[in-house]
Amino acid sequence: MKSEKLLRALGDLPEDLVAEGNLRRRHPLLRLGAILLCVLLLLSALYPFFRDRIQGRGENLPAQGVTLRGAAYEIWDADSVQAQRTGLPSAIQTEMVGMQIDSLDQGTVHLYLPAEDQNAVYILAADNAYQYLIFAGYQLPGDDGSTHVDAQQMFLTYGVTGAADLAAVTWQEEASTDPEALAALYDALVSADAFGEGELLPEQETEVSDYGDPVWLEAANGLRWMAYYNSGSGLFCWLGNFYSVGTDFLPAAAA
Amino acid sequence: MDDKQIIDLYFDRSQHAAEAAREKYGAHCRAIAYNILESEEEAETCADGVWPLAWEAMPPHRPSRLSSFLGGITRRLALDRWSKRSLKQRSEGNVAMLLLELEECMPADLPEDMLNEECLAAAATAYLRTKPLLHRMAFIRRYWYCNTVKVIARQLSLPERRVEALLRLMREELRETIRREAAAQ
Repeated sequence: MKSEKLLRALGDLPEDLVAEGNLRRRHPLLRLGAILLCVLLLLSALYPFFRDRIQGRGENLPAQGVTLRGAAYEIWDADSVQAQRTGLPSAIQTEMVGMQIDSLDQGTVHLYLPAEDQNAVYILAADNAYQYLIFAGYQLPGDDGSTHVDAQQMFLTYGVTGAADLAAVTWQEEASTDPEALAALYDALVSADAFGEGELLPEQETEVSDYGDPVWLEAANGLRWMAYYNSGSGLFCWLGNFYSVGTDFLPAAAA
Repeated sequence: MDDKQIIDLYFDRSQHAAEAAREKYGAHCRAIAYNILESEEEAETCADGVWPLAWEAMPPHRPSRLSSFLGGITRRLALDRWSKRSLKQRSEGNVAMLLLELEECMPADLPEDMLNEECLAAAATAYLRTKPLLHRMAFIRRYWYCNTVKVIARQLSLPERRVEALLRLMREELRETIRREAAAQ
């Protein structure tokens, strides 16, 4: 038979080809499992990098080491504000000028532009120590005629923790304006490292009584904020994730 | 002991060379012989014949893959032994099935004298080098190692039907390659 000739001829195949016939083949499911495992490991390694973007958080602002949460923002320094502000509605321009004169003294102005709403603008001001205050929020209708909306509501919707965190927020109005109590609270929170990466740092405690009545914000996800609301100028906030320190440091009426 | 060390023993004409080779590849050779002869006793006898032939071949031959080299000696011995069987015995069993399958690789319209072993080996080598590793593994396991389709399916974690279909396709393709090689001569 011709085929016997072929069968014998195959005995002269090169040794490397023959050796391949003896290789082990892993079960396809094992290979798939190995691939999935590698993908999972890669995703978990990359997750911290993408986490902020996934949750709509911002990037670290340069030179501050503070993460400002938000999907997008622009940084303008004091020199460039004058050039940039001509593109904004007059109300915002006024605010920004006011901030420069009254508050910022060589500080910087930041605009927080949430990705969730292209017409929303937050103006964030920072002093020389780069402690941030959210100054005001605006809803831009698309032309000059913007409305100075309730910054509180804007903040709740597009606030620094991201929209996804604010499933429900309750206000607890507290009459505590005792600067010493608030200062003690601030010190305790700092000691407990409540303000980790991503938190805005509180203002110096000695000035708190000038800003109005503080309120407590407690989100459904357990986040608690202490905020000061000034109806004339917008919402000044001290912010932090209080959930990590429990309720011991809160005033009794708010706990 | 690795292959290089065993081969060096042969080249040094050490008395331990055959022992070392048998220890490492004895089972391998017996398995190849068994696939062809389908008898434990005959496979054992056949495998025993490998070591003197390996001693004669090394040196001067220095194999690149000792397992393939020793397996090749075994395969030749086993096929020689098989071919001495009666016609009836040769018409049954695994090798009979292999030959029927490989008949499909041989172009019916070409005269036998155009298809020498050297030409066939070259055609098969050229063809296999173009195929993916899995295909090569299946083909060589079937037609060099003479494993059954069932065993190959288990070894490659594939359904038997898939292995049969793959081998059928490869036989058709090999036939065309052989035809081209023969025509080019």
